[in-house]
Amino acid sequence: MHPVPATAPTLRFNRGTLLWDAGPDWLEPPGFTPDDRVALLRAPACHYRATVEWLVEHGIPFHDKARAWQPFEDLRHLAPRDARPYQTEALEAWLAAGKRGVVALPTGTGKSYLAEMCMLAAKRPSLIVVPTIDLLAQWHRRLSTAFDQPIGILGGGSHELQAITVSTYASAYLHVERYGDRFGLVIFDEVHHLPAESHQQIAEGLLAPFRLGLSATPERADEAHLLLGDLVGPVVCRKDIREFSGEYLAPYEVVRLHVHLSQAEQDAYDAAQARWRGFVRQKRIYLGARDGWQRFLQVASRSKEGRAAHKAWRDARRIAHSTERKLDLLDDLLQEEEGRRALVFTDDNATAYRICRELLVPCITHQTPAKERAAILAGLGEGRYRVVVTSRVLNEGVDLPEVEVAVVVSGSGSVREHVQRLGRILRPGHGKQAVLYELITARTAEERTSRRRSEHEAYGGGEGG
Amino acid sequence: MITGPLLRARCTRDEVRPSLVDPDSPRYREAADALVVEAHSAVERQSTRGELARCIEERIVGDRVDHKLLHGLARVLTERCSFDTQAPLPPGELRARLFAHGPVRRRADLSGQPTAADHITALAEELGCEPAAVERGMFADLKENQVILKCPVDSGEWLLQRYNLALVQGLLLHATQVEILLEQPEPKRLRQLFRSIKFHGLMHRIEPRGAGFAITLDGPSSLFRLNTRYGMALARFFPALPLQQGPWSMTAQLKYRRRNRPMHVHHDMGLRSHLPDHGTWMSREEAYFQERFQALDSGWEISHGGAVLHLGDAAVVVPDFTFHKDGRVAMMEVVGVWRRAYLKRRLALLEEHGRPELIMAVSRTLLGDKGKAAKDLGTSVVPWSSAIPARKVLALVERVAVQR
Repeated sequence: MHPVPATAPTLRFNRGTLLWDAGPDWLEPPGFTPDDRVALLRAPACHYRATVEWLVEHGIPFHDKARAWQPFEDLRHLAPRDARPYQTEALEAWLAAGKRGVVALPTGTGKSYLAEMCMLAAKRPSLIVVPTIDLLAQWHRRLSTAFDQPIGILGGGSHELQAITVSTYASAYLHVERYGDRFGLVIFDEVHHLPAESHQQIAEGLLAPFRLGLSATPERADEAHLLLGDLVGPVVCRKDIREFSGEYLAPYEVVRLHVHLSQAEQDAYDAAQARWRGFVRQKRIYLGARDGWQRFLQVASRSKEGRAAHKAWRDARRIAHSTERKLDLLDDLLQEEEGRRALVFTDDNATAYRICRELLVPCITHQTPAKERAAILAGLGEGRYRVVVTSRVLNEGVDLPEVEVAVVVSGSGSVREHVQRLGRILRPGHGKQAVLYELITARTAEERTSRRRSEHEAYGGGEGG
Repeated sequence: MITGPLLRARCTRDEVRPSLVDPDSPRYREAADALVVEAHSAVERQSTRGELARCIEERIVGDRVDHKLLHGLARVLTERCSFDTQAPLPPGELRARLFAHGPVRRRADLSGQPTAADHITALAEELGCEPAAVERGMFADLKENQVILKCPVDSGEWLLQRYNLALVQGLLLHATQVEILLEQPEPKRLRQLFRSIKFHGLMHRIEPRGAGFAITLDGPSSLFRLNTRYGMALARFFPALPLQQGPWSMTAQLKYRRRNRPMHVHHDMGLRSHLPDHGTWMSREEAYFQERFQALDSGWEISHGGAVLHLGDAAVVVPDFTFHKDGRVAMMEVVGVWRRAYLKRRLALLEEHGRPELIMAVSRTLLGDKGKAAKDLGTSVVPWSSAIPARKVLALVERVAVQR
């Protein structure tokens, strides 16, 4: 290497951006914009790789004061095992794409082991970005046993930076200005969250030349996943859930159980439905339209009748979601499945807490402190707890191979949510036969919701048993 | 702060107008007073957050169409109150002990297995309290079950004022950039404003505009995309603005309800800051100094305030006095409480940026670190004890003034 002259241009990291101090020869790398506030050129931090490549390609000497990390000299895996063929395939595709890109693998097929393989290949300080606090704890646990390194953690009340750090999306967004120069590799778990406006800025504010995105379902309804190409790289490898069932995932079965409302409940439900639907008709709102729902909420907030209609909608939903009969049926199911560990999902916190109080089983909601969550999940793993209730918070990717039974008491119609719930009980276990019960209130809107859920391909392989 | 669905603003095609309330309107005053009374009686009854919310819902909001405003006022009110968790044992412990028995059956059956209620009663007996206390305590740490302890708000008028501020702040969360116009800035308050800008990590551009300035505020990455990443900083910065004495106005570019539109806010909208006003009026010493300086009849014209000097990235100097004579200019900053290290850094910056025409008047009595006098600070520093020495300043002005 030739020594770089002192007057050579300098590249610096400044709060999620790159500053280019051109020095005496006014050189302008592509992608930079003049910033008159500081009289220098500025670019988003994610231009780091392209900028360095451009400078090297043109033989331009420069001082790199942007990068604040050193490659690992020796990153050792403490528990290496044989990679599955599709993991090797995914790794090779990612390496071939220049250590960039998205890998689409179903939940429970060893995405985290693939991430560890990529970290070993890249040998760079790594930031792992995850959507929930449960995943934060889980990745932290996993990586702590995988590498001979302290693992940092940002989010869920913790703030500890290490060469390998796990962070939530929310914390990464908050801290990218400060720590965007510390990592050579970034891994986005559940990467379909990344295209959200604020999350994009995480990807933009990081220097990290190497990037990996992981998700079972990278596609988004709003087509925003098309942005992933710029932020992380193209989809380099994709596997469908049907290619896995039986071999790497537990075989599973979906059982739909219908309950009927009591006469009093049915009357109340019908009256509430009639009330809000009448309002919708009278105001000529078409709920099937793209912004139909938004419009209903808007119009409803403007008048007394509207507010009553909105309340009626909530009442109807509450009746269908947490009818006495459902809770009785849940009680019976848990009795029948005695000896097997179960997760119960609800759509709302109130029902989760109600089940928790009446059956004395722990529950996890967004309000449960991080420490208690970890204790509950550990308790479920060790068998201290047999049943855990959760509202929407546990929907993604937490590893609970011991769980064999899932009961969906109520839920929204989102396909992704459902596949992810399914994913939780599909982790392979010894001689495991997983079952997912879905409780549906007959003659209510829930019947339609359930139909919508079942349209996903995940059921294609599952329904036969 | 007012956020999300509680934000009230009128959106036209080309602007967003915050729906501020008139703190003197009897209708709003009545509702705000009622809310304050409700909070105080909740303190007396030791209600939970959820109970207070339900009381407010039933007694005040009801089916009123201005529910958004009322909920917003309630939010501002409860944000000021303090809450506490009350339970016979830490709730986490209560839960762990009860969950050890689960899952139990919902109803008592023939098997005679105890139900949830039986376990709760047993635990209550063991702890020597009522079963109801165990049941309540089990989730006493949930936000809505916390017990209200104190409510420092006692007037509906104050609540309405604070609401208006919170509403503008809530909209600023959606801001991508803010431009502030100050017509006749008062140096001390302007300095306080810049301190606040720096404190909140904002970047600024400043240009003279009429007798005052236009200041643009955003952050590093604003150069590449309209983003709301600095919205929180802008919102938290905002209360420093209504402290300005002269006329001010602010235009915020908002990315709100899927469109880019500006919001205009100005001094005439009755917004009042709750922040303490540190940057006060011209001090007695300064008024006295100005008088004495004029009495010297030196031909130097003295005026209060002056142009803002830039010293690199975020540092600025806002002079208290400007001196003019035949196209020559000098300036003076009267430094309040100061530390030696701060002053040294400041002087180094002035030298680095080639601004010799700035004089610093530093008080001997307001020296922040003990033991060290205002010696050896350089020639452009005038130490003073009871009065700023007019003659000394004049001599310095003659020496350092530059042609402009």
